Amino acid sequence: MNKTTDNRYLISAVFFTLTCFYGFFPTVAQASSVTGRYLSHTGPTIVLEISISKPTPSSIIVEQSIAKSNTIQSVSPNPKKVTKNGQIKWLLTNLRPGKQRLTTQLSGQLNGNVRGVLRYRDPDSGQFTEVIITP
Amino acid sequence: MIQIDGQKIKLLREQQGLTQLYLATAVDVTTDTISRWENKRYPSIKKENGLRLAEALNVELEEILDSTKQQPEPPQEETVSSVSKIQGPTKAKVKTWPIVILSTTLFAVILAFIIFYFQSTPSPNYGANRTAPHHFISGQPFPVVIELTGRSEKENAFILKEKIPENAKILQVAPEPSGKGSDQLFLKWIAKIKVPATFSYVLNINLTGENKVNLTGTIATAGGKEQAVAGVTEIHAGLHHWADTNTDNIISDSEILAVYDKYSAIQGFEDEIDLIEEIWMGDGYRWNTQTKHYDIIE
Repeated sequence: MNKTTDNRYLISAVFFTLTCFYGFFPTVAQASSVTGRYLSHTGPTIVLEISISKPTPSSIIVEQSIAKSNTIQSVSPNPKKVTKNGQIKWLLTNLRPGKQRLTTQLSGQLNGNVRGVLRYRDPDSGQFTEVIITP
Repeated sequence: MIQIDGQKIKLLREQQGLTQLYLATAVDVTTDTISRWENKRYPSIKKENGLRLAEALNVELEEILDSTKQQPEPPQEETVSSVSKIQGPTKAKVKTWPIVILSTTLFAVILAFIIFYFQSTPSPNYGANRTAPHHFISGQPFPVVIELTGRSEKENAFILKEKIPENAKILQVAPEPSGKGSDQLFLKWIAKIKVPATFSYVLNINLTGENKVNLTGTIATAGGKEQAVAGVTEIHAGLHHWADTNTDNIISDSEILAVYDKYSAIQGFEDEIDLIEEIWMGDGYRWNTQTKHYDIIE
């Protein structure tokens, strides 16, 4: 047997061992179950779309910030808090997998930037997770 | 086998307001069997069933035994007989290494099979974990959740017992307990269910003098041994809402998310969740010891 054949055997053995290992002990790695993106962000309508997949967290806090020079006309669905500083806070509960749109109607074009933050507890680990969304 | 006192069983069961069905499920026998035991004067039953029966009735085994006579344990049969072996003449040197290699290989194969079997077969190890806040305000409600953990495809019988601290009022319990102490000092669930499963209750404790309470409980399965409920066992009284985990007089985003995650499924707890939301929406809160209400800072 020459050196090349030895190496082939070694590579095969390593490959076989790894296959067996991952076959017997499969690891479960799941991606974040909540994501968001801005469908519209220049105004007068700002639309933030939240995508929720299984396993769903029990609740999500969505915080959206715009410059306080903007005038908010309406927000849908009803937020829990709207501050004079242009911060809107939603608390979404009884969640199901799917998509949800959060709409903010301004009186004119958006002054400055919009920024969103999603906060939730990871359904598997219970870890507090924060996702920042920018257009 | 042991001989029990049928009349005493009936008396103890009726005193605690338990049904024959409850005992039957706890012991893992039929209601007819329980009825037969109660109606016979001194029925003979398996010791294992006697132990479960005593457990379900909250008494020691000795208390339900026939007190008119001593119950000697049946003598254990000799399992090992002493046989003297006559050994033949010692053989001359034999090559042992092939046998050693063969037996080592065989042992390795068996060991690999056992490891694989236990990796792929879910082991029916059950446990219970208690989730509760680390502090509360005396006279204000707080939740306790117990999660039964383990892996099993089929339903199993469980007895979950929780000792309730003195001066505590039980405001909510879910699911409905199978038994409650007459003085409300314990909650007991007996159920045939699949795990994981959740049990919860809401307490309101008026503390005088003491500044902490202890929560203890046990979980037992049919044929398995009783074990303590793990998790939170000590709760301190203070001036902060139980959801304000870092006691900074603010319910933060992470704190309200934790409340929804751990306690929002508790039936009848909606008003408390609404109150927490109200505090979260404000800039902070103070517990008003005069009015016994939370002053929310806007």
